[in-house]
Amino acid sequence: MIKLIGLRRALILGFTIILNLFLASVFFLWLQPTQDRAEKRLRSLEGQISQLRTDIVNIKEEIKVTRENTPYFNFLKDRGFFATQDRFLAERIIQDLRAESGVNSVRFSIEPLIEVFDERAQAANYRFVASTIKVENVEAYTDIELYKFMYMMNNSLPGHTRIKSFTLSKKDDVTTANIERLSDKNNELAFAAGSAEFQWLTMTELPKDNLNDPLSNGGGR
Amino acid sequence: MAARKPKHKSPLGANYRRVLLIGDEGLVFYAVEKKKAIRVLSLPWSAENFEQQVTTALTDEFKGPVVLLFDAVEQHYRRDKLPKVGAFDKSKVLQRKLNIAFPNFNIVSALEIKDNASKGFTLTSSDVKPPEYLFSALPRSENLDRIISILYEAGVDVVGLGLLPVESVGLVEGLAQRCCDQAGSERSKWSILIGHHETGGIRQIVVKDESLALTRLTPVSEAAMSSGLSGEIIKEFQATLSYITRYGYQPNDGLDVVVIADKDSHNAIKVSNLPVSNLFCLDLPQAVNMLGGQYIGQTASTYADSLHALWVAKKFKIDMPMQVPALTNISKPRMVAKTATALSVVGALALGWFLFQSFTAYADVRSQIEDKMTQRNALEREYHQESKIFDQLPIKPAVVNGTLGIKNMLEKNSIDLTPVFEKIKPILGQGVLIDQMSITHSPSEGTVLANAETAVASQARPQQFNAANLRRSSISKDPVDPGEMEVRFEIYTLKNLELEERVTFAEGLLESFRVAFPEHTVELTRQFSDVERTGSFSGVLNSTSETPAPNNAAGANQKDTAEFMIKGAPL
Repeated sequence: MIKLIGLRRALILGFTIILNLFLASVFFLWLQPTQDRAEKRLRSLEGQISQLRTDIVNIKEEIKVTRENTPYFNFLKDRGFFATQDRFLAERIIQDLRAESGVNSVRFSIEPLIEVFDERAQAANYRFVASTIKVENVEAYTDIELYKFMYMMNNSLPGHTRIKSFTLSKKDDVTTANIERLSDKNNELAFAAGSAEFQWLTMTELPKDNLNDPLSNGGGR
Repeated sequence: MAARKPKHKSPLGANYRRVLLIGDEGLVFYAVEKKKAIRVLSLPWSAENFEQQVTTALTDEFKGPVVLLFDAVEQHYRRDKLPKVGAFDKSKVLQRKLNIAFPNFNIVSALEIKDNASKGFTLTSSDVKPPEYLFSALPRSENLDRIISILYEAGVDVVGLGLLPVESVGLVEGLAQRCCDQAGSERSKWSILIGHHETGGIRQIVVKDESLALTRLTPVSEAAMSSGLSGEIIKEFQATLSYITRYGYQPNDGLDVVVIADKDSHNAIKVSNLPVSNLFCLDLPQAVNMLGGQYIGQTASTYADSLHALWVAKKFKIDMPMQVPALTNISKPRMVAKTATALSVVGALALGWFLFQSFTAYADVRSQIEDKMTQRNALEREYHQESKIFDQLPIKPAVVNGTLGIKNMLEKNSIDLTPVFEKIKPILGQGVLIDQMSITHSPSEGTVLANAETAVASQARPQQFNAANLRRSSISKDPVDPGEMEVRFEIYTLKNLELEERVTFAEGLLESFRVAFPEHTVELTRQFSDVERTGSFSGVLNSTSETPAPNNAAGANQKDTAEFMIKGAPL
C-alpha cells in the first residue's frame, strides 16, 4: 500500500494525522481544562471581590453608625440601662418617689426577673431582662399627687420602664365631714386611689458563671 | 503573420501539471508551470532504459499531477443519443450504450455533447431533446501498460487519461477565435486545427459548433520531413475536407483553418488556394504567444504538441477521462491519500487556529485573573485596615446597635399618659368629673415584649448562643406598630340633670371624642342609668310628677355614671 501511494505521501499523511492528534490532545487534554479552571478561578475572584466590597461598605457603615450612636449609648448607660435590677434599690426609689410625689401610701411587689430573648442582646453578649412591678393601693389626697407618682415611677427607675396598666378612681367625695378631718394631721385623707403595673427592662451582661446569675438563683425577695 | 499582443485574456491557467503525450512513435513529457510549457523529455518506445528515463524525469524536479494525453492513431469515436431516462437510470443506460458501441474494448468513456442551439429556457417537454453523447474507446496497448507501470513506480499523482482531440476542442475554438479577431474576419461554423506532433504525425482536429466532429492523425514520410510539410498538410487537409463533406459540411457553413507549422511552410500553404473561409498559418511561438503562454524547449517552430500540453494543463479535471482500471487502481488511492492529506492539513490549520484563539482567550483570562488578584489584595488590605478600626472601637458595634435597637423597640412600645389626659380633659369641660379611669397598653404582636408577657425565665432563654454574631450585627427591624392602648373611664355630672339631658349630654360627648380620636375606636360602653334609647324603658306616671323617672334610673344617693372606651394606637 505504501508503495502504491508513495512513501513521501504516506509520511506526509502520517505526519499531518499525528499533528492533528497532537493539536487535538493539546486542546482537549490541556488547554480546555486549564481554561475552564482559569475561568472558574476568575469567577471565584470576582465573587470574592464583590463580597469584600460589600464587607468594606458594611464595616464602614457599622463604624460610622457606631460612632454616631456612641453618645446616646453612653447616655443610656449612665441612666442604668445595663444595671442589674436590684430590688433594694427599687424599694428605695419607690419610697423616695412616694415621698416626693406626696402620695399617702403605696404597696408594691416586684416579680422575679425573667429573660426576654432578643437576638440583638445575644449578639452583644448581653441579655435582655424584665421584671413586673405592681403598685397597688396607691392613695393620695388628690389625683394630682397620684398621677405625679405614676409619672415618676415611669421615668425614675434605672433602664426602661413601661406602663402596662394604670387605674385611677375617686376614693371619697368632698363632704363637710371630710373637710373637717383635714385639720387632723394624723388622719391622712385620700380622695384618690389607684394602681398600676409596670414592666422594668434592662440589659445585663451575660454572667461568667451561673453562681452570679440572678436568673438561676431566683433574685428579688 | 506577425505576432501581436492578443486582445483576449489568456485562457491558460495557473496550474502545475506534468503532461505525458502518448503517441504511436513515442512519448513526449511536458512540464507545465502555470502558463509555461517545458519540453522535458521525448523518447521513442524503443529507447533504451525507457522506463528508467521516464521515471527519473517524472521524479526529478518538476511538480504537479500527471495528465496522460493519448495521441495515437487508434482512437474510436461514435456519436449516439440516449433515450429519455431518469437521472438514476442514466448511468446504467450510458454504460449499456458504451458496451453496445464498443463490445470489444475495455477502455471506454462518454461525453455529453452540449447543444448550444437549445440554450435558454425550455418551455415544453417536446422541446427537450434526448442528450447526444460522444462515445470513445481505446484498445489495450502495451505502451499504455508500460506508462501505467512507470506511473506506479514513480509514485506521482495522476489526474487521468484523456484523448488529445477531445481535450483540445477548446484549443481549436480558442485559436480560431483569436486569429479571426486579429484578422477582423467572421467566425465560421467549422474549424480545423492542423499541427505536426512529435509523437506521430499530422493531427487534424475538426470542430463543429464547439464539439468534436472529426479527427485524423496521419504519419509523415521521411521525405516530407526533409523537404517541408506544406505538401503533406495540403494533401491531408484536402482528404479531411472530403471526409467532412460526407458529414454534412457545405462551403456556405464556412471553415476556419489554423495551421501550426514552421514558417517556411506558410507561404506554400497560403498560395495553395484552399477552399476555406479563413486560413491562418502560425508557427509554435506565435500560437503559444497568442494564448498568452510560453514555450521552453527544442523544435520550437515545428511541433504543436506543447500547445495541447498547455491547454490540457489548465484544466482541473479531464473533460472525457478514459476509464482504465489499472490506472484507476493507482490514481484513486493516491487521490484519496492526497485528499486525506489536504483535509488533514486543513484540520491541523483549523485546530491550530482554534488553539491560537483559545490560548488567546486563556491568556486574556490569566491577565484578568492577575488584575483581579491585585484588586482583591488591595481590597483585602482595605478590609483589614477597616477591621482594625472596627476592632479598636471602644464599644463593639454589636453592643451599640443591639442596645439602640432594643431601646428603640421599647420606646415604640411604651405609652405616655400625659397626652391622653390632655386630650380627654378639654372635651369633658367643667361640671363633669371622672369617677374611675383605667389605661392598659398591650405591646405590638411580634415584639419580644409581647412574648415576655407570658414568658418565664427558663423558657425565655435561647437554645443556642452564637458568638459569631457578635462581630457582625445590625440593628434589627422591629414592627412599627406601637401596640394597642385601651382607655376606659366613667364620668358623672355635677349638675343635677334629668336623665334624658344626661343621656343627650353623654351622646354629645361621644361625638366629641370621636372627632378628637378619629383613628381610634370610641364607644359609649355604658350610658347613664344603663338606659338605651331603643332599649327597654318603664316608669310610673301620676298627676304630681311632670317628668317621671324611669324604673332603672339611679337612686338619689347613688352616683349615676356613664362609661366610655377609647381603643387604638397609643398617643
